[in-house]
Order: sequence, then structure tokens, then C-alpha cells
Amino acid sequence: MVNTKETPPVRYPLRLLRGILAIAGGLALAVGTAGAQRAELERSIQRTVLPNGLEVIVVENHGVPLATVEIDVRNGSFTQDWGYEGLSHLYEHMFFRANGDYPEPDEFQERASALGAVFNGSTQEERVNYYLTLPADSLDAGMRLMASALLKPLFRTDELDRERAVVIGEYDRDESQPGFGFQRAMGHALWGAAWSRKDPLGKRASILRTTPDQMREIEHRYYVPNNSALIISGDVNPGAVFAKAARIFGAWPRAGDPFTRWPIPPIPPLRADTGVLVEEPIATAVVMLQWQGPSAGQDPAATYAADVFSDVLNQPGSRFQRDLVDSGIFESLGVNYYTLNHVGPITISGETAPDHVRQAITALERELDAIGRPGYFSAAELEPIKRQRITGTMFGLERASGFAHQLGFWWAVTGLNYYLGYVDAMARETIPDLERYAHKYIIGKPHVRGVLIDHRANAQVRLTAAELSNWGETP
Amino acid sequence: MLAGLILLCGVPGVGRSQAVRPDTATVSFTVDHVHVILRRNTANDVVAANIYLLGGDRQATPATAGIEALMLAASEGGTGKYPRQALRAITGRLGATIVIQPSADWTTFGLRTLRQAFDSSWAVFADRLVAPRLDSAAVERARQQMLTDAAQSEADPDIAVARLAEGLLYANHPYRMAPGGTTESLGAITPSQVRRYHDSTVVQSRLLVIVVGNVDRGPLTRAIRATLATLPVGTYAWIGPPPLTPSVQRLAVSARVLPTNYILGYYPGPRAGTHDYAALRIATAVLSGRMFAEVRSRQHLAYAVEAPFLERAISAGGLYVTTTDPTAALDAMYFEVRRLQSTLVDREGLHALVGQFITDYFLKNETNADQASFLARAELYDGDYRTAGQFVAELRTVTPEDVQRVAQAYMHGTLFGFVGDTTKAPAELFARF
Repeated sequence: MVNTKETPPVRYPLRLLRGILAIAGGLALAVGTAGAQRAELERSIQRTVLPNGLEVIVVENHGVPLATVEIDVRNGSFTQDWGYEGLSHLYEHMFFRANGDYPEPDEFQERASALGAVFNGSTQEERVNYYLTLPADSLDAGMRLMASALLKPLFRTDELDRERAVVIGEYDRDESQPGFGFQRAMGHALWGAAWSRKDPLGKRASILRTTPDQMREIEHRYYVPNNSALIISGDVNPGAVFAKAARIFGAWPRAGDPFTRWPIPPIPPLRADTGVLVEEPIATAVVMLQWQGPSAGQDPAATYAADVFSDVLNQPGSRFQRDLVDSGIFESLGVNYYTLNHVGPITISGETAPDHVRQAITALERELDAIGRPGYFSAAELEPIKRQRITGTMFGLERASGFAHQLGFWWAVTGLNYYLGYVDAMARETIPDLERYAHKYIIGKPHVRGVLIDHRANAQVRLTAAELSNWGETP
Repeated sequence: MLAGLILLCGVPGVGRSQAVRPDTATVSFTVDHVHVILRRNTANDVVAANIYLLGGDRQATPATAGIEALMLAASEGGTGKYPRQALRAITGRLGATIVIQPSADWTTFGLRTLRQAFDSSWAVFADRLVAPRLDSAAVERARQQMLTDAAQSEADPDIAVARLAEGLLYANHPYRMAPGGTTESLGAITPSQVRRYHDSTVVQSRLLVIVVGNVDRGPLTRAIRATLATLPVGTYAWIGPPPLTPSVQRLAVSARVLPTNYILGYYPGPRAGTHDYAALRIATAVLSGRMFAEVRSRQHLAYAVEAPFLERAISAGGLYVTTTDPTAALDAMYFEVRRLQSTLVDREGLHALVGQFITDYFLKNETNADQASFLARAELYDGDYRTAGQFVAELRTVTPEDVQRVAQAYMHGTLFGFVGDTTKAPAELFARF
């Protein structure tokens, strides 16, 4: 599964914002003060690092008698050089195929079935994860099964041939989805030469040429204990899990830091405004603006500000929503920063009537100018955001299996300390922090201005990519 | 992705001690005429409170499909007690959320909040159902968003193929109505119709309230008495839907230029609460695993292939695949259907599969909201919320003979939707199913 929309704490996709309407009541009692969130999380999350560098994280939750075994690896599209586009994802597929302990096709699945286990994996920009959920009393067997797949992959040629075809089938499905071409066109424009490092799906040609040696190269570089985490969540005892982890994964030999030996090249900055116009059958027009945002590793403070900034603008009743949605210019509008260690994108996207598309873009650009001026934000707007983040953390903890996936994402992209301090750091954000972030990354900065519109509708309004590139300039 | 992998294999199952814990924490009672089920869960601070509007869009007509979801969405525009701006002013002081989920048998209006904020959250939430203003502006805003969603969803080939297949399966049946409405119905509903709909259908006798969380019965009773119990009592009585009346037409196609083809077929299944229901659920899982192994893993004809099971008052089973080679994929799928009908599944393998089902069952009950949904299905489909706790035991009673019997009894007369290159969809390809 290629999943580029990991759900960090309370970051709603635009469509979800429609179905999930936030409400509030006069909350007299604290639901957990922001300053206590780290302590609350640290009570639930225990961790250790094995001598070989493997980080072991345990989340105790005795709600149902299940355990989830998850392995996260710092791999994904960000490691993809030329010829390797899409191969992190193909590797994910091969993980569940034959290995030294289960050498025949389907043996992994048969063993999982015998254990009563369900399993899956996903590939994103900066992490790949594999997870298996099974009855808690079979945890030891589940950990051993995952260790077999992780440590002893065979990459059989016959299986690689089959999985290539399966991945191409997945590619076909993704391409069939509305908006797929638009998103890729936006990605190409935003990332330029670095696009392959932001595209987990990759290139058909590269996938079709994949060899077992390339799989082994990925394993050799990135599938090492000091670049991986083992997360166990559910009805488990942390002490027992740590002992099992040492016994099952302790002999996995440490290797050099992959990112020292094969450093990730810097993302080339966007130099100028760029227009993207894609025509597809669609009832409305989608307007999307994208910027290159902060890197969690280099500017973590800005990533916290980015999330508060987005939350404030997304609040029903915010000035942003009043000016642009309540006014009828847009039917909906959302702001998002996607946290990545190597430059995350900032996105503002909304839907409008096709014949209002120019008016909508102009209004949005004007609003951005207003955001850049002092006094746009008020302190009263920040307080509810903090409370919502606290509640969001509580909701996340409720689902033990899903929480393991969430933790794995943060471990890979930012390190776990970032996540543990997330809500507390959010609570410290101030209006000047938001203003600094906006000026550093958004206001007056080069961005991609994209529109997805129906061909017939555009025959009426005659929008072009060139006009979008040079928005506001007299033709 | 290896989604939903539940495979049937011949490996003996290992011992496991999964067992449903006795449900001593759940009680059922009424407040005035409102039926309430409360499961007290002290394990966390999250509270899930769902109000089920029974019958869902069965209250509506094809011309007013989607009216219930529209009414609930428009209630965001404010109530007598909380005008829109006031509602928004208190919005965000707390991270509670409201969920609106229309479905074939009921519409869910749900609250997710924390224990400490339950009383105040409930007051606002319930008032949106009891006394929404439903002024024209609010209805228009909600309508516009729903219209956009309805139009956009048509572009999704998965949704399009589901509509085609369901259109045939549910021809002349109340389930045929799209719970979220159609562009035609949503466009024609007037604000006064919405207000009349609210006044005539939002009554105590039509509500089922299920709360799961660390909430005591006393405060919950008081909260309901002050809100939902002020509604008219009404005369609603829940009844299951009538039997299915599938179309005689077996195939509906939609030509689209896509990189692959979407195929989905459905056949009518048994009513919920019967032994066949559990058996067909297992049989479709067996078929899913076999088709995954054959169509995807061995013949690599598809990325996505499965045998869905529609969990409703009257169930349905199905066949789904996306493929560039419909002939080969459907041949392989047909072979697996016939194999299931003609030979008994391996007893040990069936035991292992049930083990995976039980894992999946617990996964689907991790959150309080999940548990509320499970209790609702048990109460409404089986007539008793306590049957939710018997789900695992019921699955364990399914035998290889049951699987073969329901495969023979139900897996035929499949009605297909097809989206893609229709030159690859001759009728004879589908007629044998």
C-alpha cells in the first residue's frame, strides 16, 4: 500500500472536515493540561534501545486481547535514486513473500493464518512500515514471524516477477482515481528534480526493470537495526516484550549509518511561481496552492507553528473561513502542512464553482497578503487549538493498533522525542511564532498555483498554466 | 498493500485463549420513550455517544433521498439555544467531534468527546437534533457541500461500480436509495421540506441511543431527559426491510477510459440473525483468501480482488476485482466459486480462518465508538444487544458443510456492475455466475 497521508495528531484531510464538525461545550474541568501531555504519553509509551541500535517501543493498552507487532524502517521514496523510483514500495510487497524460514510462496501467509494474525504494510516518503496483529498470547510467535521476514528475505525471482505485476496493478488503480494526475502534476512542479524522492509510487519503467540485486541493495543499505524500530502495542507487558525483543532481534548486526554513507541530497528550492492546469471530468474546480515548507530536522520550531497556523485557519468561524468560505467564494477550503524531515509541503486547497475560479484565486491571494500583516491572528483563536490537540492525543491512544502506526511515522520522520513533546510545544506557540512562520515560508514566497477543472468548463473560462504562473500580472 | 489478508490454509491452528469477556457492564433502559444502551468502560476517558435514527432514508422517497443527512448537516447552522455564531464561538474550546453517517438501515448522529466534557458536549450535540433552526441559509450551505460530494463521488470508479451493482441488487427495494442523496434529489429538496421532515420524523420512538465510555447511568439519564425526552413520542416501530427484489437485468456497464477495469457483483444473502448469516460471512472470507492466492498471487491478474460481505439487515455477498484482463480474472474467480460449492473446505484451515476473524473482530472493537456500532447492529439486526458478545461463539459453530451449503444456496444469480473498457465486458462473461 502506498500511503502518503499518514495522520499526525488531528490533521484532517479536507473532505473529512466536512463530515466531522467540531463542537465544543463550556469545559470547566481540565481534560489534561497541555504541560502534562508529555508525562501522560510517557506513562503509556515505554522504550529501550538494544545494543545493536534497534529501538524498541511498547504501548500498553489492555482494551482488547490483541497485540500488534510493527516494524518501521527509515526508507521510502526519499531514498530513491534514479532507477529505484517506486522500489521502496516494491520491497514492501516482497517483505511478505518467501524468506529463509518460510521459503515457499505463501508460507508466510499460511503461518500468519495459523496464528490468527492479520497483517499489512505501507510505504510513504520517509518511512516504510510492516505490521501484524494477533492474539496477545501468540505475541512471541508473531515477533518471530516478523523477524523471519525482516532478517531473511529471499527475493525469489519468480515472486519478484509476480509482485511487479501486482504493483503495476496498484499503479493502474491509483491512476484511475480522480485527481491523481493533478496531484502528480503539482508534485512535479513543486519538487522539480527531487520529485522521485517525494513519490512513493514511482515510475512504471523502474518497477518493471527491478532485479533481486536491487532489492538486496535496499536491504543492505536501509534494513539495518540502527535504522529501524520495533513497536509492540496492545495487551502486553513491557518488561516481557523487551526481553523477547532482545532474544529475537538482538543478533541482527549493527551497520553504519545509511545516511552518512548515502546522504540524501538537498531538495532544490522552488525559484519562481509556477502554474499547473489539469483538465479532468469534475463538477467543481479545485484550486491548490503549494509551497516548500519546513524540514522537521532543521527547523522543528516552524513545524509546530505550521500546525497551529493550519489549525487556526481551518477553524469554522475563523477570519480565513469567513472571508473565503462563508462569503460563498469557496465551497470549502483547507490548510495543511505535512511534516517531513526533508522539506514538507504546505498546501492550501479548496473547491469552487468553475465560473468563479479566477475570483477565488484572487481572493485567496489577497487573503494571504492580509495574513502577512500584523493583527490577523488573535490570542483567543489559539486556545481552542491547544485543547483540540490534547483531545486528539486521547482519541489516538484509544486505538492501540492505529497508535502503533502513528508512533512509527513520528519515530521515522522526526524521532520519538519530537512526538512526545508535540502537544506541549504546540501549547507554547504564540502569535509572533505564527507570523514568523508565515513570512519565512508562505508570504511572498514562490509557490505552485494549480487548478483542476473540467475541460468543458475551462472552454468557457479559458484558464491557462501561463496565467496561473504569472497571476496578477497584466497580460 | 496486502489489505484484508485472511487466508484459508491447511496448517493446523495454534492454541489461543481468545474469549469474549462476559458483558456485565452493559445495561439497557429507557428515558421517557427513548431507548438507551449504556456500556460503562472505565479503561479510558473517551466517550462515544451515538444516536441512531432508525430506518435512515427509508423514511424518505427517491425524490427526497439524502434529506436526513441534509437535515443533520444543516443543524450546524445553529439552534434556538445556540445560534450559529454562538455555536461557533464555543466550537474549539474542546476537541469534541460530531459524526453524521447515513446508511441503509439507520442514520448515525454521533458524539466523540472526553468524560470530563461529556455533559456540556451532550447539551450542544443533542440540541442540534432536538431544536435545529434549519433556516434557508443553513440548508443551502449544507446542500451545496453535499451536492459537491455527490457529484465528485461519481468520478470515483469504485463508487460508480458500487452504484451500478447496488442498483441491480436493490431494484424496487428501499435499499436502492443513496443514503447521502443524489444530485437530483438534493437539488430539489426545499428548506421547508427539511423542517417538515424534522418535525415529523425526529421523535423519541425512532431513536436508539448507545453510549460507551466512563459515564454513569444517572447523569446520562438526566442529560437525555433534558434533551431528547422533550421530543414528541411518535409512533415509530423498528421493522427490518422487506426481502430483496433484484433486477432481472444482470449486468450494468459504464464506459470510461481508465488504466484498468472495475468489476463488482452482488448476490442476495440471508437475513441477519440467522445461522446462514454467519456461515456466509465465513464463506465469503474463504473465497476472498482463495481468490487472493489464485488471482493475485499466482496468476497476478489483479492488485485488488476479494469477495465482499455486505453487513445489513438483509446481507449480500459479492465478487470484486480491478483488472486489465477481465476474461482471465473472471475465469479464475468463477473456478474458485465452483470449487467452494463443490468441495468441502479443510477443517483445520477453517479453524485457522475463524481465528483470524476473531482477531479482526477485536480490531474492530478497539474504540468505544466501534463498540457502540457493534451493539447497535446486535440490537437492531438480532433483536438483542447481548448477541454482540456471542459473535465469536457463533462463528466457531460454522462447519465446512455449512460453508459449502451457503456457497451453493447463495453464490449464484450475481448482478454485476462494470466500469471501464466495455468492449471487454460481454454479457456471457458474467452470465455464468
